[in-house]
Parts: sequence; C-alpha cells; structure tokens
Amino acid sequence: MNVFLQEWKRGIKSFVLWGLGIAFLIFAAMMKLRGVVGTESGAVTGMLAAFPKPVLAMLGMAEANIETYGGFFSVLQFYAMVVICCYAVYLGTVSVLRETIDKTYEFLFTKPCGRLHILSMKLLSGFVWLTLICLLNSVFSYLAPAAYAIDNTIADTMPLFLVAVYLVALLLYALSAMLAVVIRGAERAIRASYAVFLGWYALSVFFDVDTRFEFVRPLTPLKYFRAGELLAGRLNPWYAAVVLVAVVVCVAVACTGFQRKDLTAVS
Amino acid sequence: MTIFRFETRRQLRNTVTWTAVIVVVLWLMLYGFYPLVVNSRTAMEEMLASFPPGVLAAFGINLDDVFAFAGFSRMVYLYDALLGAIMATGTAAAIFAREKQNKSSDFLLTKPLSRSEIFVQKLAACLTLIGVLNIPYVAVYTASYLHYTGSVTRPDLLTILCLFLMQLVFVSFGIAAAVFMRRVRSSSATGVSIGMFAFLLSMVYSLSEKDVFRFISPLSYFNPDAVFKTGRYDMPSVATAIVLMLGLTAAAYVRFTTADVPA
Repeated sequence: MNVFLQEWKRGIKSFVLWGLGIAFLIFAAMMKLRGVVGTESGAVTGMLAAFPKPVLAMLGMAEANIETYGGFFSVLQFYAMVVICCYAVYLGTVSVLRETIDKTYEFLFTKPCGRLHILSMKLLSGFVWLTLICLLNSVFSYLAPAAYAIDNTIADTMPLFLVAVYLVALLLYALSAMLAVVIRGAERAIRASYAVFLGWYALSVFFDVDTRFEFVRPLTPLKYFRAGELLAGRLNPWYAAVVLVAVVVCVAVACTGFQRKDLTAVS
Repeated sequence: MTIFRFETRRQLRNTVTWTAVIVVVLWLMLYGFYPLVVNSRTAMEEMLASFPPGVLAAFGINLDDVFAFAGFSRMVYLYDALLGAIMATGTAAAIFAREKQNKSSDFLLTKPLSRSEIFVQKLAACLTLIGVLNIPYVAVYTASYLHYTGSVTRPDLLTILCLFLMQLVFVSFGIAAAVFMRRVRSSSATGVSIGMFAFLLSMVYSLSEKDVFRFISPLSYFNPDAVFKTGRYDMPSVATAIVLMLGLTAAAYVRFTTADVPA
C-alpha cells in the first residue's frame, strides 16, 4: 500500500496539468456552440454525404458532419482521445521506469516486498490516474453543453464516446508499460512508446483520406471506434474485445518480463 | 566547437529519422493525396449540379479554394507542424538537458569554457539540426509548387517557410523547459508533451474560431491560412512569436549562466 500511495502522490502535478488541458480544450471549443439549438439541417447533411471522401477529409469532416452537435462532439472527443493517449504513454512508461531514470531503484527494490508487488502497485496507481482523467473528460463533456445552454442532441450516445476514449487510452497505457519493460534503455523505450502512438495517429490520418485506405483500421486503435458508428449507438464489440484482450496480454508480459529485467544503473 | 560537434553528432541520427518521417508525410500528401482530391473534382461538380446554386456559397465553400494547390497545402501543414514541433522541442530539450539527465553538470561546467560559450554552442547545435531537417523539406515543397503551379510566388515561399520559423519558436520552448525544470526525466517525453499541448491549443483555436485564441496557439503563429487569405503572415501573431522566442531564450541564458549547480 505504501508503494501505491507514494507513487500516486507523485502523479498529482502532471494530472493537474493534463486535466487543465482537457478542461480548456472542451470548454473553449464548446464556447463556439454557445446558445446554438441543435439544428440538424437535412439538406446540408445530405449534401455532405455525397461529397467524395478526400474532399471531406480536407474539410475535416471525414467521419461526421461537424456542423451538427454530434459531429462537433465527435471531433472534439477525437482530440481529447489524442491528448489522453499522450498522458497514458507518460503514465505507462513512468510506472516502470521512474526509479531507473531517477537512479533510485536500489532504494526501492531492496525493500522486502518483491518486484511484482512493486510493479503492480505502480501500474495500479497509473491506472487510477488514467481512470480519473477519463472521468474528468466525461464530467466536462456533460457540464460544458449545460453551461453554455447547448441543446445536447446526443445525450444518450455520449457515454459511448467516453468509453471509447477510455478503452483506447487503456490499451496504450498497457502497451507502453510493456514496451518500457521489454526494451532496454529508458530513453529508447520512451521514444518507442511515443513512436507507436504517433504511428497510430499518422495511420488514422490516412484512414480518413480515402475509402481505399480503410484496410489500415486494425492497425490504428484511434479508429477502432468510429464516430459514425458511435453516433448510431453502436460500440464495435469485436474491437472492444480485442482491446481488452490486448490489455491483459500486455500487462501479463510486462509483469513476467519485469521480474527478470536487469535494472541497470546506466540507462 | 567541441560541444557543438558532440551535440550535433549525438542528435544526428534522431534528426535524420525525423527528417525522413516529415519529408515522407509531405511527399505522400503532395504527390499521393492531392491527385486524389483533384480527381474527385469532376464527380463533385456533377453532384453539385443537382443542388440549387448559391448553396455552396452560403456555407462558405469555394470550389476553387478547395481544389487549388495553395489551398490544399494549408492542410498539409497541420500534420507536419505537429511532427516538426515535437522534433524541435525534443531536440532542444535533449541537448540542453543532457547534463541534467546524466547528473553530469559538474563535469561539463568545470571545463575551461565559459558558461555562455557552452550555451551558444548548444544553441548553435539546435539551429543546425533544424536547418538539416528543413533543407530537404523546403526542396521537396518548392519542387511540388513548381510541379503543380509552375511558379513559386512570395506567398508560396512564406507557406514553405512556416515550418522552419515555427520550429525556431519551439526550440526556445525546449530550451526553456530543459533549463528551468528541476528534473528532466526524458527529453522525448518533454518534446511530445509540449508538442501535443501546442496541438491541443491549435485545435482549440480552430474549433472555437475565436480570434483571440490565435495568440495562445504557437503552431499557428506562422500560419499558412493567413498567408492564403492575405498573402502574408498575421503580424500580431508574428510579434508574439518573436517576443516569446527571444524572451524565453534570454531567460534561459541568464538562468544557465548564473544558476547554482547542485553537486
């Protein structure tokens, strides 16, 4: 429990920073819609549906019409996902590598509680922070439209977006913890984790560009839960299952690998 | 010169990788994606013929803007700017925080070199690496303008140089972060966090469409959008950028040359 509390306390500052970032993103972006009553103009939506996908991608509307509240919210949540993923990489790598980087591992790992215990407590603390930031994202997402008197036309599908963000962030969290265990050298491991994330982002851009690139979907979890599907009230169950299984596998690999990891002082 | 040579060599591989990524993204966008957009024009015009005239104008969509190369290249910037910002911040942070990360400040500072010389050499290394990235970037971009429009006008040149100027701003962010943070865990994490935060701010700016927010969005200080609309950079933003850049670098310089280094 001590390890957990210690680790949890050290995460407060970065949580506050990222939390403020999310708050700012959601509130500042929603300000634009202040007082807008959900106008779903059928003509516009129909017209946009007929646009070729490359053109829509250029206008930033590859998935949904940004002029509607649902479309706007889905774009907003995509960026919230990007931000939270970035935080997830930080949490995942720091859980495993903090003592190595600070050169304090010999103080902690000589305590009589076993490596597995230490790692699981650290991962748990990161998991709690990640859950908290996703909750914060949810709270803001409900507060912002209420505060600005926006007609919330998608109140019932909104939880799906929030769950999707949580799942993807969780996957990246587990994956970066695993990479931090498996790859030798702290800086290299951190770089690799961010590279994976940026790779996902790049692929998601290509995914949006043209219908012919939709085959990259399995490779980029940022697109596992598409805005169109979520707005229709459907969270793709196959991809959700894949994500959960992958999380379990990554955590298992991280735990077994960590017990045999050489905690060298030279990173 | 020793520090300059050491730092550029240390970061060279990283920089070459980043250059490859950024130039490939640019290449794919300009030569892979743009033709797709142009090809879809006829399909789109046929489809639009069935709509009453004036609908497009009402929504502020001008077909010539959408399909013109200059209009298209604004979008390319959005993606390359994020990568460029991360690279610039990460490189500057790596160079200026190296001794902090290795806990070897005392070894460097006891060398017979003044602290300001060390600072200047490290700064020169950052700028050189940014330059290395920008040479192929500018070359590919310029070639694409010649390929599609047959000429490179002054606004085109301003668009092409956006990345370089924006990176200079982010170098100062990286230096300030490395010098002022008590502890730097990882320079790549610092780079990605600052770059992502800037990306988030630029999203706030573009989603909210509030003009004031352009001052807090460093990715849009040198904005191809403004160049596209007015033919030059947005001067208040440029002024903000210059003040920030010089202010942060000067503050970091003072701190670097006067700080008490803990043993």
